[in-house]
Amino acid sequence: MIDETIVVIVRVVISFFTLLIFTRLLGKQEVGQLTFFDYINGITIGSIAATLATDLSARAWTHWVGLVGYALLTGLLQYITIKNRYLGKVLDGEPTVVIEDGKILEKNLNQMRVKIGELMTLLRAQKVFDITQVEYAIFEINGELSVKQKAEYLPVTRKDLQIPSASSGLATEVIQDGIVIEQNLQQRKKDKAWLRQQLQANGIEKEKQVAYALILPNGKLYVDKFDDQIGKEADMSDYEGPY
Amino acid sequence: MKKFSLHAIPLLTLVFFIAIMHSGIVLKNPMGTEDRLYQSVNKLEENVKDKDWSSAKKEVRYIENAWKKVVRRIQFSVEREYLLEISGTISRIKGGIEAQDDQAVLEEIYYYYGQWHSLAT
Repeated sequence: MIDETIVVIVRVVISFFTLLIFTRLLGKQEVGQLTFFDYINGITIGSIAATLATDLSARAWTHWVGLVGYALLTGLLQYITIKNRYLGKVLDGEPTVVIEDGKILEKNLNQMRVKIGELMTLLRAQKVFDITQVEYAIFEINGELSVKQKAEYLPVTRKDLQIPSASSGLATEVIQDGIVIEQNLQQRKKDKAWLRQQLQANGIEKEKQVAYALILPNGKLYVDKFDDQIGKEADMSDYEGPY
Repeated sequence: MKKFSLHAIPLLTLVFFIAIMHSGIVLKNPMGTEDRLYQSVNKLEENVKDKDWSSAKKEVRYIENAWKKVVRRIQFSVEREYLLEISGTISRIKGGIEAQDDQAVLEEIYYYYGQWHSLAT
């Protein structure tokens, strides 16, 4: 009677695009920047979307309202945390100093519900193996540890050694998958004739032979061809395959 | 134009989804001569009250086919269990007619009326 396959397909389309629209509206926060609450909230929204697609024992509408409700509340909280500094601190928490001048601040650590073992792991992940080298370690709201080492343990910079350095600038993509990106060429004040000339100098007849090309900060052209002409020396596989 | 499309397309998509999820309330109504479900159950009620069992048998066959047509249209906005429950009610009506048990059939017909009013609302 009821055609479950078609119903699920229609619900998948509804769920997928609703999720896509609302996640785009909720901004471009990276997974690494999410707080613990954001993370759990994301899982909940995903779970409701999955149920909307596959649970035919309830109306699609009820799940959809749940999904939209979570998305709207998340958006509302985002707005509040941006507009109101105090509420932002209450809702998101704030960075907490957990090590100062090599001493662990146990009270702050307990407030963050972090064990000393976990703190040491995070410290090692920041390539600090000696706690006495730490001037400040701050536990960020996304669960990451920011570490400021004491000045005597910091690596020497070009400035310290008074070595002159020029700004390196940015590289610009000019060919991707054989297609010339004219807008980027114009940005670097170049034209197709210049590009063709550069490609010919690299032994390339047509743009279609190029997988990727960049104008480097120094104005030179980096070209990667589809035909890489690489021998088997770089093949890291230790099985025949196929797999 | 691009900026307008950027906002209009997601908005229209959401409106379209909402329309699909609420389409049952419109699509449960008849769209031709072969899916007049509610009127047919009304006729069946009269047949049963008159104990006209041969007409009742014809009517219930029509109801079964009409229900299949309606289900195809409303399945995107109604939960599966509710559709199965109405199918069960129609089957019990059919059984009651076979047994010529007018009391049982009338009970099921009035149960069906309640289900119909709540369907896709």
